[in-house]
Amino acid sequence: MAASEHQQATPVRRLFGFRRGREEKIQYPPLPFRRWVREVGWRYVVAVAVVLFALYPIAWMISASINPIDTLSSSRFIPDGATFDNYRDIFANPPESPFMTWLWSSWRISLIVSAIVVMLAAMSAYAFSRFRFRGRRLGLLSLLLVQVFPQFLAFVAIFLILDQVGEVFPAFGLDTHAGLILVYLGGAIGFNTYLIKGFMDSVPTSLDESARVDGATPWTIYWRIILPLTRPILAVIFVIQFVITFSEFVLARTLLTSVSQFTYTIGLQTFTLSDYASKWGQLAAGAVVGALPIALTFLVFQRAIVSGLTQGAVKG
Amino acid sequence: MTDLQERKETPSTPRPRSRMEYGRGFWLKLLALALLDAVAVYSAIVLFSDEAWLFLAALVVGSAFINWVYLWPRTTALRWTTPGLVFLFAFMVVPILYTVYISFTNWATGNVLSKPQVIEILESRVFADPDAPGELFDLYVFQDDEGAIRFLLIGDGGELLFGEPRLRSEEPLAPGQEDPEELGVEDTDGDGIPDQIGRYRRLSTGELFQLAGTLPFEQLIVDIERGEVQVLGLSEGRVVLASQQYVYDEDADAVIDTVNDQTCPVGTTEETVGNFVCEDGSVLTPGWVAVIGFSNYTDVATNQAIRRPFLGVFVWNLVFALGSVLLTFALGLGLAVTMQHNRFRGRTFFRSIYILPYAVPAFLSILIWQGLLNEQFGQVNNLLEGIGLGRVPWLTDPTWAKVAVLLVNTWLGFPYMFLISTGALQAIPEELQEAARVDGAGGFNVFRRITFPLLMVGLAPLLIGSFAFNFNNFVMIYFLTTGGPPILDAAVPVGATDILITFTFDLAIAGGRGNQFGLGAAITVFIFFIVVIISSIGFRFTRRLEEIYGSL
Repeated sequence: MAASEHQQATPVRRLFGFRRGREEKIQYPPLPFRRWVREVGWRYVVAVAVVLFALYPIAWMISASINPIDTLSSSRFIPDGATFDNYRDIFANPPESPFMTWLWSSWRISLIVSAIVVMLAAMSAYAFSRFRFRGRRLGLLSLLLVQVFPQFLAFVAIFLILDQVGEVFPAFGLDTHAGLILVYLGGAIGFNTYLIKGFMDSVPTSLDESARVDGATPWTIYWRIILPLTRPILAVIFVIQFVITFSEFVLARTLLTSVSQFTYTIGLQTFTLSDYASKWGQLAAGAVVGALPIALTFLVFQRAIVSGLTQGAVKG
Repeated sequence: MTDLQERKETPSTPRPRSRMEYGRGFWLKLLALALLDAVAVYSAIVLFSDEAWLFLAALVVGSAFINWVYLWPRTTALRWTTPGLVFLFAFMVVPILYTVYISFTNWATGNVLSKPQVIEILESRVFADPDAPGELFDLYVFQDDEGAIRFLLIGDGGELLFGEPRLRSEEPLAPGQEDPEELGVEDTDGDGIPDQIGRYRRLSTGELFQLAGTLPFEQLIVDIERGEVQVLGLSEGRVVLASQQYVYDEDADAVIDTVNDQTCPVGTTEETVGNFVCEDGSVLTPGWVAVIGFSNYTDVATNQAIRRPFLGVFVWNLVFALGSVLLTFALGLGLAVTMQHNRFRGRTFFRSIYILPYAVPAFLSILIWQGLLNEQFGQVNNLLEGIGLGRVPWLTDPTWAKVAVLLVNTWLGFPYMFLISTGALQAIPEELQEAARVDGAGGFNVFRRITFPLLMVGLAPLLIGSFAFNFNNFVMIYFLTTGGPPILDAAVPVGATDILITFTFDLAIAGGRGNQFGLGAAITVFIFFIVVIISSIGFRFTRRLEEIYGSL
């Protein structure tokens, strides 16, 4: 009983368990140099070559962002007279391309969407995981089927629908963040429900049964038992959903029209359509500012996020 | 844990259901429901007055459903799933169905209204012959303290006409709203021309010229009972008598052109089925949204101007998706295998670096790549020139642009493949490979016959998922090349690196040739089908469905 319980609980625990995969520090006897090169040394050569490939654009992004001259072709990584002027320009939020307004819009939209998605998807997932009801199997299958279609493919229909909605409720129409948030919610809930359900299934039902014997309502079981136990995976889904929403382009570009309403994605894209060769430094600084918090989050939670991703979610 | 034990000691009889049902939670729920219903009733009134019947029906059904779920006693599961389902249905299921409907219509620039709206617009059109001599008026401009402008027209007989001007492009205003006599006419300087009408004051010549700098006088119209007065200059207006040009005949389902004395029935060809077409062959605009059946689909299949670019885009789309998966997987797996050695140290360090392309939001790094690949100034070409290779037209040459797209996508995608390959490699028991080696298999054979097949069992579904993702990888294409370089001789806007979804996007929203919603939706439906095919192959591979069935 205890063993099977442990086994069932592992998928959730494993996410933050740092035991698996950690390198065993076994001392091997040293090899003769030529054999070491043949068996191990070349592996470092390959690994370092890929490191250079991986870092190449990121390094130049940082380099260009501190370059006083707007150039894409500096031959040195740390430019002469390195300066933070580009960052100052970005933070000054110029009215023709208000980077900070765009960034704040993106953060706000993404935070709201991720929070509501995790909340609602967890509730639906609980019902699918714990209740037995008519249409459950059909519901799960249709969740999966509907989710096969990337939502943004239907951008024409969504545009026309939101245009109509705006006629009646201007606050949720085209060119509003509220309308965009509603659309994002519709696109994200199905798949995340399915994902979370899988993790809730790995929480042993014996826990809620004993609680039910004690008179706990479904809500108490959800709030006191299921949610605390699935909190790690909910956190991962929150982060992944945040990044997906943050990077979404098609729907934002279709639904938002005025520069002040833009998200960071559309803002930077339209920025590159202007004479950006002369503002290359600003673009690079903007990219660094947009990427830094997210990249840091990824690095800190990399193990948890990687496990979450390999469960099926693909980064957008 | 102690909490649970304590509870177990107190014998618990199930509380009576009614007491739980009417606790604080129940009243909160009722309050939320009441608020929701209040909003629904308000919306219903708005929708009713707007005659938006479809939305009204959706609202009524939706709120009835929500009320039923939360008031009916036996709907436990639905109470948990409804909040999510409402969004899923409204912004996922409905748009998909709506897309299918649009694909059967001629919805495009020039055909966006409903038929009654088109008839209303045509019937409101008046005919005015600009060369007719007409009646001349003297014109004076008045303004109140808030800047509202009124024109005073004085005819030959001394008759005073007072009205608000509008732009020629705007809807006509009801004439005679303000009667100058009622407002009170004052003529302080006694020249026979009023200086003050109600709160409006006549502008001096200086003020008039100032105003003329900001107001397009030649495009202004004043509506009076007899018709429209076109403004000719700063001090002169001219009445042009106008008459209704089109009259709709319901029985014949045609409009009658009273000026040219002809009837204009609904068009019969594919292009004009949403317009009235007159006997002299002129097509009246605007048109309306008409259901045209499979025309959009047959267009894609038979219309040379669309079929050729479409096929080109489709083939490249497949090459792009497949190429991306193969390249990223080759690099990712190769790297994972390389680092999979007992004596290899620093895996955590390397992984932290390899995750970076993945951790930076893709749209940002693609924009950076776009700059780096610039032919003249880009760092990549500088590097190539530095080591003795020439400059490469990365984003301007059709073939090199494709190479660039694949290169950048490899950079973006290999970390994911590396991470999942590493995970899958660790999951393969060491003993299997040992055993094969003991049996005399060489390193490469062990990999080919033991490791790789075992890897594929776990990774195939993820690779298919990656294919499906890349098949619609909009941001990759749009941010690096915007689909370009453009193919110039095509009848629809299309570029060498366009994939179906970017092609559709330009066609429907961003292209310079108007919005082709119908055709775009038809291609979207086509993409839907491809996604379904890919996914069903995926399902078959993964036996995912069996897992679902198993756990149901």
